[in-house]
Amino acid sequence: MFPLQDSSKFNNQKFMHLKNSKIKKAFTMVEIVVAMGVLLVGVLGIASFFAVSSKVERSASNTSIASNLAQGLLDQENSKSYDELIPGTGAQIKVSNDQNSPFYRFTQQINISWINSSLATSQTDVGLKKIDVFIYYQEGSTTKNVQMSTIKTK
Amino acid sequence: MFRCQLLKPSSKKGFTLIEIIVAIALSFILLGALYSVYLTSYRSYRNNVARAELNQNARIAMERITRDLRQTQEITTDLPPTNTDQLNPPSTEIQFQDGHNTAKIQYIRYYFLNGNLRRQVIHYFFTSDINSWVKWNALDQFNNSPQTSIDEDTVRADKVTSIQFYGVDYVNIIITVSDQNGIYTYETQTLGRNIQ
Repeated sequence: MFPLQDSSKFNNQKFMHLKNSKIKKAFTMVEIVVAMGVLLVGVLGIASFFAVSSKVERSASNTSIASNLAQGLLDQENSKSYDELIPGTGAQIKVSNDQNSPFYRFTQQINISWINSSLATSQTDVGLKKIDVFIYYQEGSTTKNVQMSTIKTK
Repeated sequence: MFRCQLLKPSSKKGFTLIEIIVAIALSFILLGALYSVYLTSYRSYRNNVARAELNQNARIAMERITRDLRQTQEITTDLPPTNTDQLNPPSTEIQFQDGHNTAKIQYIRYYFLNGNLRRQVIHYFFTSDINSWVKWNALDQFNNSPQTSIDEDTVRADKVTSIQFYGVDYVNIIITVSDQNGIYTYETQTLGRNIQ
């Protein structure tokens, strides 16, 4: 009985070995495709980080340029006298009409309003005017803007 | 039984030469692909850093100039009214009185040299009395102009390609920075708050 058992065990092992070698000899096509798919998703995932960082960099640059334009526009308005500032909503106009200008893609708007001593919008002139300047620009499909405000006294 | 195993070596115990060569070739292709991804990412990263740096240069240049200029009492450089007149082109430098120094009459000059924005601190004096600092256009009793002393001359921003100053009521400043990674132009207007 003892040798018999031993022999069956041997046969079994041999059989298993054969079976294994037939089924698990290589990767199947599906495995390779899945592995490559996973790798591709990983690599594209990392690549998308750089697309995002590039976008963020452009956004930061636009914000800086627009902030400088807004500050400049504010100083331009500030250089006028109190009476030269006509209350009202300004039109949106291009910062530069020259197509080759780096500022062609920026639009500016100036709003001037009367305010009272508690800085709320007023219907009458109490000697305080608020200047709001806006710089609009297109970033992808969205329109962004930078706003700056100041107060002018009589 | 023992002998039988010895005589029949397992045919699948190792890799064949072909398998190893194929495996190495495949891993090289894979490594190559991954390396090119890495290289592209790295380049993109470097580009973004360089562009951010360019923007920073322009921003800092603008901030430095406007901060000093806003406090000034007098701009001594004759600026053209526009930057479109060929016969009267915009200035590439500007000199004005230092509004932050209320103790002594001192001047600040921003100018463009070899791709750098530089800042000088200047004062004027007569040789007869070197300790009293005078105005830039002061004259002594013999109608002589004062001597110039440059007390400081430092680089404030690099990678600058052009600077323009012009304007009458306020100063228009246009700065362009560039290198192989990009070109950025900044524009602003500054009103000297203390100009009479």
